[in-house]
Amino acid sequence: MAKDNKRDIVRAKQGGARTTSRFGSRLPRTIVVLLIRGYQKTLSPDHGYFRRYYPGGYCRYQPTCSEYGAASVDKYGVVRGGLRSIWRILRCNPWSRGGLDLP
Amino acid sequence: MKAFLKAAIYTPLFNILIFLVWLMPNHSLGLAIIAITLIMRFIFLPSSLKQGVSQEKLRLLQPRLKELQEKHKGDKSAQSKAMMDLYKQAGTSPWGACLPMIVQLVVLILLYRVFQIGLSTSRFDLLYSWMPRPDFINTSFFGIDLSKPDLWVLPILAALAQFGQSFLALPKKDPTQKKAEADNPMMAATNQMMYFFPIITLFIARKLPAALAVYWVTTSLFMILQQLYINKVLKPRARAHMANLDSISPDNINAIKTVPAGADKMIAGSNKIVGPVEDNKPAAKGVSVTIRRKK
Repeated sequence: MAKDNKRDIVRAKQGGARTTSRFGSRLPRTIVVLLIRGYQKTLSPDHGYFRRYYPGGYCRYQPTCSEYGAASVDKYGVVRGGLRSIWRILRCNPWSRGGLDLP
Repeated sequence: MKAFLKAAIYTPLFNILIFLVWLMPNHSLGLAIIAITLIMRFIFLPSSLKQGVSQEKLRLLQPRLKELQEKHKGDKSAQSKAMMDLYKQAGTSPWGACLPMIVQLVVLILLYRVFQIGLSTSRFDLLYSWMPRPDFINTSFFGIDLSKPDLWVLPILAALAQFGQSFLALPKKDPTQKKAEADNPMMAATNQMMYFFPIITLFIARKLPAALAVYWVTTSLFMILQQLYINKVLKPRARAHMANLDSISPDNINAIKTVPAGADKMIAGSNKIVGPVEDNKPAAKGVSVTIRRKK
């Protein structure tokens, strides 16, 4: 917890965002990330069982939407990471350009 | 939170559904569900077609992509930039999109909630005031009651359509890839999914109200037709386009689009070119190459 605070201070100095949890616990993030991994292993068209129908990958952006979601939630927490993931999914539509979009 | 979700997503879609019910002859819910499915599918049709074709184009681009990856190893942004240039050269946008999947899921959940809450004319408090209201909602569809689970006809149809669609959507395998797939146990699992998923669909369709099965059958049949169109029409076109890839550069890509190479050799009135064409591999001795090109 003390280490995290230091990281936050440094980040704030660099203009970065707060990434530690308000409640000091990473448990909600871990649960959500586990759920996302479960989706990735089964239903995902990029990483799961339906992968062979899309040999070139499915998601428009690089990294894929589920990977972005997992990394976002892990980095920013459930609420903020979740909102960023939802925004990313809304952006990942046939009329967007695609490309590189790091979490 | 729940109220927000209800207002933002559930109510508009519910309104659309009731509007379609009002439109359909005999206020039939089955036809309204088919209508809403087709509307959704047509909205995403262009991108689905592009994505189906891009599967084939990517398969053909695979060796070039691999060499690009080797060239820019470690530098992710340069790698993706080079790949994007290659995709632009090939005229393909390589990926699908996540949003259509989510939208379909949302519509499915909506239908489920509609039947959970109960579908009757007394529930019209959710409708906007300017929406025309049907007098009754006919939930019978060719003799099937849509608010209850249907045990046999619709689930079996749904499973068969699902299987047909998975089967048609399979990418063609090169012989080397076939062997690699047989060895890799993970890929074997994805192989089995083609047979497994319809069975899951069957069991789920037996449990849920028949309206969802109608939705599933409609969407699968539409995707079967879509995939047939992709396989028979768009993929051969893409293959022809890719065969000329080396001659395409950003300068002459517009020229290529308008005037097919060898147009001067076209027999007037038809789209047949007879004789060896410069941009293709030279034919074997004594062979005259006849190429049909789209004008």
